[in-house]
Amino acid sequence: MSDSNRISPLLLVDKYIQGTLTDPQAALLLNEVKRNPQLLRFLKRNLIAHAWLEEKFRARLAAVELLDSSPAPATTSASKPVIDRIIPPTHSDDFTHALNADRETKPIVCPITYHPEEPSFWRRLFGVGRETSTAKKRSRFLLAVTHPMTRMALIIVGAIVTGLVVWHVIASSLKNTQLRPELLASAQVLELIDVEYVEGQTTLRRGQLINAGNIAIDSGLVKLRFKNQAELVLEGPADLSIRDELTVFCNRGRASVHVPKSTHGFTLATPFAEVVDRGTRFFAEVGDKGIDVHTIEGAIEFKTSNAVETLLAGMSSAFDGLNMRPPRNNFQEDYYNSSRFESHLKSYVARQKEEKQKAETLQNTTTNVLVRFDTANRQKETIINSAPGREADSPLTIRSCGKTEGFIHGTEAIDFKTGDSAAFFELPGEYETLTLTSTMKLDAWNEQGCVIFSSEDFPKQPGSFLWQIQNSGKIALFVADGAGKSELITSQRCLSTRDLGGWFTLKIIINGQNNSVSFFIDNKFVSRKKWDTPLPLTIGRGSLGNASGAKLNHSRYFSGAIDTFTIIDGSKDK
Amino acid sequence: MAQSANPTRKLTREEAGEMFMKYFGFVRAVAFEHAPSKSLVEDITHDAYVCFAEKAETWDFDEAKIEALLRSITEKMAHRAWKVYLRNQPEHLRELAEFLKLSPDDGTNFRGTYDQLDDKLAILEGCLAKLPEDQRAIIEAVYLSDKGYTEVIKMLGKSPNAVYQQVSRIRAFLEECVETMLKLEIKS
Repeated sequence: MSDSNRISPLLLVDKYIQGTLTDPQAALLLNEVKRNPQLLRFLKRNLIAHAWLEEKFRARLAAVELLDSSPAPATTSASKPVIDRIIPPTHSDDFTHALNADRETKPIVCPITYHPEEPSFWRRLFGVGRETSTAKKRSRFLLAVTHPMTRMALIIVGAIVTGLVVWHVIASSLKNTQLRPELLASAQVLELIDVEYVEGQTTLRRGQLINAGNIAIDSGLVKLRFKNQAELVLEGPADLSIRDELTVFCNRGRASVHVPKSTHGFTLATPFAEVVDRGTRFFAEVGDKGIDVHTIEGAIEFKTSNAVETLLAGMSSAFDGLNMRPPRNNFQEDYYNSSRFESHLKSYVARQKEEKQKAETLQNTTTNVLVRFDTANRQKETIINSAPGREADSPLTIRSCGKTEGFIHGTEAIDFKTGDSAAFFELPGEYETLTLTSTMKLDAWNEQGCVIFSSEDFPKQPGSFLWQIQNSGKIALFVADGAGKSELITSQRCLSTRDLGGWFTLKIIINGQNNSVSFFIDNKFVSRKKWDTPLPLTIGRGSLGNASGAKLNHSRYFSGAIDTFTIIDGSKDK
Repeated sequence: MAQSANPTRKLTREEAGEMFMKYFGFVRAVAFEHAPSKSLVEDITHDAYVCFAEKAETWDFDEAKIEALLRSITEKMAHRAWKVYLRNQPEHLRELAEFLKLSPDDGTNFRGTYDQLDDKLAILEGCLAKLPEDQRAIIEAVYLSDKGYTEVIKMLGKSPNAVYQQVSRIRAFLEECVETMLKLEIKS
């Protein structure tokens, strides 16, 4: 390597810290740290200090926003302690409501159960000792309204409200044994169009829920919807961090933001300036040299280190780190206005459908497809089997399922909503090797796992099997021996809470020829395990989304949606 | 760890949530120490909560042992996150990350008692104050004002490479300063 091309180890260290180290550079750095203990020590010191400085930055930013936040309903959730973002699911709505309420003046609705000296549940929970002076104020307020008639009316209202609350809690606890992360998410990925990710970055899934995190793409479009219904379209190359539902940090890239009127204070922070929404649609482009911002509708505040400008609809400005260009009135078409985005999406969807069709044609010609249920072929509550030559076979009969948007934008999928939801089909025969593939979206974990597919009479029938997702994030296959036992074969963990809400494709190859079970996710190999006692596999009356048989399982059903489901007889490859 | 005078009992979901909140700072500090990337700290903390809440109703719970329990759960979640993190990395980045994690403890490994995170951050403030003004301005520009390297490069009028190296040196100094001050505090 010539001197001019040689990269300093210190530079490699900084690139590693920043997350911009490429793989070849990583090889160089690895060699350097292996042969130079001082450099290794230097790198580790940098990693630790970087983590501390980032943590300090996070805390200081939260403190500044807390000071800046107005006393009336809480603004940015960064002003709330991070503790507020992780809340027990059963209390989520109550938490949000309680945190936004004005604690100083809001009267307690139910005087019967109110004890002035006892801190409220929320205060006990956060350990915030709002003091008895506040409690005393409240009790005085209540005493002020204790006219006999008023008291009677309050008692009646309180009893009704208490009854409703108790009913709601009981009803919720009976039906909801799930952990639903959408309550905790800041944003959801709505669309991904031709996205190429920066090397080493985690890929996103359509529908995926995001709490906080970084999105780094080399190209393509990502559309996000935040919990407050704000929408952001990001065009690569771009680097965006989601802090919470009201704050994003864009290091580079193009972002088109639409914030509904009901939401205030949405902030796009950049290395150069901040753009704060005031009920608007705006577009920003962040590069190495600065930021350009255009207001499409409404108004924004454009905050730099030395000025704050309000830009109304049709106005634009720019900042290069030193100087702000005076706001000017030049109408700039929103680079990603809805019709332009829809046009990109339409062509992307057309390509996706074409690729899917090609894949199916190839599958039809090279394998023996037994079953292919595609929700595109749904007619009311049945879906015909579109495997070639098997159209007359048993269709998929859907029971107690809804409809939801499918894997490809504009298509539908079967929504398994409750423990009564299931879909059934008949496939007689015994099989040595089967490949099952399904494109699905999991919305919540259930207590005993989420069943994707089950053969009839599992576990009584020998060779009957059950395929499910465990709460641990592993994929599991149970194969019954007919003598009351089943062999359990599991994959390595390949799913986590972060994957909930997003579409993915699982494949399992149950191979009786070489006594193995292989697991795949999104066509990537996960793991292979030995199948100790291979048996001829039977399906009979198979069920999707729930354990089979007359008794559907209310704590093991598939809580999500299934788009396609395919079974291939692997022992008869064409 | 003190023995609890309370008998063991099972927790409801609500109680589990309250209990977790009480030790939230502790869990977060554990997650911080073990997270493969600091952007995963919140996810690990969240996963730890999910695991704790799921199992709380089946355990015989003893509050005297809660810290050990939460530490164990959080370390397990961090370990899982580490595996997923590694799986997504290209080959040499993965090797480098594993090498760093497994390298012998020379005083710079990511270990420490979990209640020291706040202490370290407080000491960090003091160490930042010890920096020469220009170096403090550089670090603040990079970390504490969202301006990033672009601003710093402009500010210094130096080449990007020179700036990156300077920032790395300042970081190394800060780490050493914090550890030294912490040891002195413990001694005193």
